[in-house]
Amino acid sequence: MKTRSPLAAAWLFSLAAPLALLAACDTDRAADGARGACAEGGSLGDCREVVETPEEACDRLVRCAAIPRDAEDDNGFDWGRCVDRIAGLSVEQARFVIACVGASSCDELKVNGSPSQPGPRPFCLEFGDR
Amino acid sequence: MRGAIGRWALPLLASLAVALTAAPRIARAQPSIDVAALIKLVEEQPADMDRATWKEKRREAAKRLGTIRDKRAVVTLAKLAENETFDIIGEIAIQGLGQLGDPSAAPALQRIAADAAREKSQRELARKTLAKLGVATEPGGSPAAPSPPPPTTGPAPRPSSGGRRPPRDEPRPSSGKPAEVKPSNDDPDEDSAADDGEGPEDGEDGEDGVDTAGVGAALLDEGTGPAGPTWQPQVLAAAERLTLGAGSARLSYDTARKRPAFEGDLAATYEHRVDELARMIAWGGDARVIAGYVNPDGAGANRGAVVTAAARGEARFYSGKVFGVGLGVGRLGLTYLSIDRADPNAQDTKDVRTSADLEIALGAGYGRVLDQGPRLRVRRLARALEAHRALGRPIDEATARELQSAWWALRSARSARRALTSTVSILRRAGVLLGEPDAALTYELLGVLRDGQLADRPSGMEVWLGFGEGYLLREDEPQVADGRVEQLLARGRLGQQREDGVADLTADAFARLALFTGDDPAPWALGASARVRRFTYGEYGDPLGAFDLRAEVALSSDDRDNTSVGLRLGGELGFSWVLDLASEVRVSAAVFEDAGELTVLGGLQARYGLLDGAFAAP
Repeated sequence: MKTRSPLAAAWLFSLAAPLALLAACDTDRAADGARGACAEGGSLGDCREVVETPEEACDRLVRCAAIPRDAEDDNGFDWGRCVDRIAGLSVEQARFVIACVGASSCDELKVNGSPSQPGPRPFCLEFGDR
Repeated sequence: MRGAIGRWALPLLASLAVALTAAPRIARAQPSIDVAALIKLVEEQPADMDRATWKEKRREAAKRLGTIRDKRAVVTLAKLAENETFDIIGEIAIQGLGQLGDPSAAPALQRIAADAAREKSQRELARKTLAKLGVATEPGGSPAAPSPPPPTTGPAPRPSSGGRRPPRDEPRPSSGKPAEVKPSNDDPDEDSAADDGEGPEDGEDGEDGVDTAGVGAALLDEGTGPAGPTWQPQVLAAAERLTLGAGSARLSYDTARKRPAFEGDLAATYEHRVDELARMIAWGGDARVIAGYVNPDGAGANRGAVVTAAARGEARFYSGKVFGVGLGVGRLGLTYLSIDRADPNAQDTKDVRTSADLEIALGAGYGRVLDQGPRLRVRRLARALEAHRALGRPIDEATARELQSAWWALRSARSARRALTSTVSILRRAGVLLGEPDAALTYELLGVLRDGQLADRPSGMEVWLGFGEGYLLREDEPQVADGRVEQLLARGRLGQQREDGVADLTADAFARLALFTGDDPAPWALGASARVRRFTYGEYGDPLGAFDLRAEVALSSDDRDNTSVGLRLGGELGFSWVLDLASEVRVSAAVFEDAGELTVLGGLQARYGLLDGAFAAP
């Protein structure tokens, strides 16, 4: 396979960049989750993602800086609670919520308090309330 | 003296006159064409020549025999025409017999015309040749009239390597004459269009200049699709995709709970991209509509809808490998949610949110990534032909372009049949495919043409850095950046394809930094991901699936809450196994670490068609 040198270059790039940055950063307290290319600044990045499962939908909410990966507050709405929330919905409700998260822009998924302490649930996840 | 000159001059002049008169005939009759040698080459493979070379030389020899007025050539060509049913040389021989115009070839041609086991193209060619000779299609019958081929449209082929245009001065039967060729009842595939009398006459060009006579005429009848573009040399790659996706639609009514529910998701995406040496233009858009409705008995109804529409365009101008880039994006989003809560103390929700983005970016970059999928498909075609010992010669650049032009023209076709027949027709005309493909080869060719694993195969490397300026319209709540936004953007992409197309490597990288935020947070992020895929194929070229290994890393800072950098590391290993058209299994395992939390996800998706058979009585 003639892909050795590009493969090596890709891996080196993938590993060296964050390691170099990590070394330069203060790591006293990790942020609530690493944000994706489209978390801020509109739609200039290619923001289309495949979102088909509750885990992928909640992962997108983390990447969009809408919810934390792991809330400091035990009752806070984070990735785990998001997955539980969608898993507890009926089939139609869950499918709507997952599709809604996949189609919305990152700004549309944010709520007051995002990402650390989102007050209400993201708009799409209100679907299914009774 | 004068008498002496006269004595010598007269015979000299006479000799000169004879020589001048005879010279052309001598020149024509020069034994530069050694008939015996040609016949020997046709009949026996020289010991010092490999089979592929011999087949090529043999076809050339047969063509030359068709131009020699020698009785021995008639015998040899008649033998070839009758016996060579799988190699294109059989059709060359039939044509040659027509050119020689010797009626002694008629019995052999009549047998070919009447042989239902032979290819339709060969039988048709034999009928035309008999008509040329003025002989009946069947022994004792009246002279046959050729059935004119139907007008063809499609990518203009290169001149036939195996066929010859009949000279204009050769006698041709009138196309207006009722066809006397006995219909072949044993051939259900007989193309009625071939006998409609409206096509161009034998040997004439079709409407678009396609020579419909000669080798593979029947394949041309079936095989040519609508005319594709003629790719200019400066065009490096092009793509156009329109995808309609009904992601899901579900309507149900639960009689026990008296609960109707509906959920639907419809999406459409369009992309158009042309890469040329000096520039690249791409544009497209997407739209999506999602609707949900759940209405249980009593209170608690939910209604929701999401509508999004986006358009984007990109232009690059190259100078060598360096380019300037400009891109623009416009997006509209609308989300509607109505929730009637069952709890009378809880507040109902009824809200419509809208958003709009209008952004542009300008920058500069280096390198270029192109989709090599169509090239890989051409290579796989050649490999399939080679495996079946049907590759007459390598697929050259012109043939590769012609194939891709035909595929492009058929890009909206639902069936692969026309792509298959066009491909076979082009390959035969180019002398790449030896003879009609048999069932096994046809199956493999069809598999290559329908192989979805050859889609989206980027190759190359590019990076660019740009400045983005945009105007975002957002709701008042929550507080997010809106109005004018500026940012610094960087993108990188890498693609590498193995030559035989069974493995690839792709990598993407991004970086962004918000600019001019004043006292507000200035978030930044960067990340990269890489994916390696190994595609697997079955013994007969069936796509079986792919292994894929993906790794990603992302770093970001939102500059809020006194937190430091967020780091995400992740990887996924999976295998998609395509068992048959009805069955697929996907096994995957993913692990990622984000904000100090490790998550492991495993997945198994299986769809297995245990039985798939059907029968219908006549």
